[in-house]
Amino acid sequence: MNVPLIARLAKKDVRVTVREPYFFFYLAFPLLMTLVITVALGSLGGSVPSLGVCQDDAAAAYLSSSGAVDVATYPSIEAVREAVASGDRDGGLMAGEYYVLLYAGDTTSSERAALYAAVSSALAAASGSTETVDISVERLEPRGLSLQVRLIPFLVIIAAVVGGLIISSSLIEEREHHTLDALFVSPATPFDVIAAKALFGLFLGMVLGLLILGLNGALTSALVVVFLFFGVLFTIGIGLMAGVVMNSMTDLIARMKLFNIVLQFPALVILFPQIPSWLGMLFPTHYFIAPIISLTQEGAALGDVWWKLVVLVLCDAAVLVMAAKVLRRRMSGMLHLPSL
Amino acid sequence: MTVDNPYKVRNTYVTGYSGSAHVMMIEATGLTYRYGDFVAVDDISFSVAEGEILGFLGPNGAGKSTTVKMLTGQLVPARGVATVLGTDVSRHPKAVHERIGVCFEEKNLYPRMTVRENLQFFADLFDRSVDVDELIRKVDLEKWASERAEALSKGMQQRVMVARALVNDPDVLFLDEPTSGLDPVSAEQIREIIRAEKTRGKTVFLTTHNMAEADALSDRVAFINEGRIVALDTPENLKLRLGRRLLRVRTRAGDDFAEEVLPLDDDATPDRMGALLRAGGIATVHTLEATLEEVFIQLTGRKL
Ligand SMILES: Nc1ncnc2c1ncn2[C@@H]1O[C@H](COP(=O)(O)OP(=O)(O)O)[C@@H](O)[C@H]1O
Ligand SMILES: [Mg+2]
Repeated sequence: MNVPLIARLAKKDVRVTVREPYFFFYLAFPLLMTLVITVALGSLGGSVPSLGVCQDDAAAAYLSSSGAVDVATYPSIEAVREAVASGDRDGGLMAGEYYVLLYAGDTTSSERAALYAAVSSALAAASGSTETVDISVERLEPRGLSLQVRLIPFLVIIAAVVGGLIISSSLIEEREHHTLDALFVSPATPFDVIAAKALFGLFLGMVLGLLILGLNGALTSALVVVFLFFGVLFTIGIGLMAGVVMNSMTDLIARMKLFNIVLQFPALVILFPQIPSWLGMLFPTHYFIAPIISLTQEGAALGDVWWKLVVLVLCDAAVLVMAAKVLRRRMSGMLHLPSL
Repeated sequence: MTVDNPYKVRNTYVTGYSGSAHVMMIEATGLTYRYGDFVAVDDISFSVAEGEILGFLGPNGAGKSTTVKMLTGQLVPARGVATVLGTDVSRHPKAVHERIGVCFEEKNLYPRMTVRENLQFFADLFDRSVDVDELIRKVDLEKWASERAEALSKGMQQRVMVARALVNDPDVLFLDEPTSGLDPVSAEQIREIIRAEKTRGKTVFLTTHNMAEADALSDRVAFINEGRIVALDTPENLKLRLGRRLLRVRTRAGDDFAEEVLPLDDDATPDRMGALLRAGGIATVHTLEATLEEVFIQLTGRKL
């Protein structure tokens, strides 16, 4: 493996790909989808989480004037609890012996963070002291994930698929233009050529995935990045295979539609709670996106999802071994792949 | 000058390269390639000495490109060994690739990269410093250096491909039909580049189905037909070996032309020629040696 050579090959792949008309659509599609969904469902910038508070509470006035949360006042603590439980309010602030901040079950982690920050600064201002006020938090049992959260897996899989698709397209184009032949009589080995493309696809898929997770406020755990990495790696393996098996770009696009449904199935399972959730577990991408949702929305930790990481890494290994085999066979003679 | 044994000349010719002490830059031994059951190249052997241009002449489908691909490590021979620069190409393709240049039959530039980017990219893959601008000058494309390859004419693209083959200053050049389908001016420009490389002592393996080109450029020519080499010699010897050793003399008397054909190897010919010369009135004298094309047809029964 020759690292400087792979870097030069990857630089060429970037240079060629960004000039291809399809590149713009590949990038724009998931980002536009994210923007449309987040704007439509109103969590991006525009809307703020809603909070219920007792009308006689000292912090009420401070909270209303801060603008960080949308405040409504209620006659009693019971009324506040009721408003949160019914879903009218994302959170409720209740004063008793100490302050209790109650979250609705289907709030996102970023909404909860915003509520907590607004409440703690308002309470500090109201008490007029520099001492921090103790707030105990409580969360109602989630009634289910919000629609926006349920759409995250769908978008993240698109990001990963774009990473794989870039590789397929780039390989198919180099085959169609016969530029691969020129590379194979250069000092670059087939492994270098393939590795460069894989790295480019991995990088692009990761950047898109991180952007989408960030825009959805779901970048709250380092483990999410680990799952994203191995999830994108899976589609990279698929992309490599498609790049040698498909005969043309039209062929690729036509078959991609069908294959996309398989990759997206676990996302559909999360999107539509009517579908039994075990069905999703039959598909590899489940082990990629389900943990991301558990980690960011349901307070799961490594202990809860480690086995899904193991399954995902095994899926990666399987798909990459298969890709290496397909590459070797389909391009045998033309492509003497060294042992991977 | 009469030549009684063409093989003698051939031997003399080969030892004419003894300045480089029998350094064989390319050696093919029993090369065979099959596409499925179809034998595209059938047990061919030859060698190319340092500084030599070998013309590989044959009709479409003869197996020229398949041979180039085996010699350059793109295809692994079913049987036989290809050695380039003393290295077995199938075993150590990358060692060979460092020191050879390949110009492909099919156009294969990165269409969306500029001429300079195309060349710079390949230059960067080699572990040596390359003056890409010098290379662009060499193929006379300074004005087009910043244009995308896809915007160039076929002839210009072909020159970029030749330049790319030269990017590592290779010791051996493989050119697969570099002038095929080009206009005469572009074709001649490429022939000039090939001659210049030969002058610099480089070895060239040139495939073509253009008999005149093979004749003009090659030190030796291999005729290839249906995957086999049917003849391999200098163009002169090939023409002599199979051509007719005849002299055609046209004489003029007033407005009337007369024509006489004299066999060169006949004892009576010197006297007859002398008589014609003394009589005056000779308009033209031609030898009737064959063209390479005629020799090819005679050997294979098919046209180029
Ligand atoms: N990829 C291939 N699959 C099957 N047959 C091929 C393939 N490439 C070439 N051939 C056949 O092999 C023979 C030699 O081809 P080639 O070496 O390209 O000839 P040339 O370069 O002299 O025109 C031809 O009959 C051609 O049809
Ligand atoms: Mg050919």
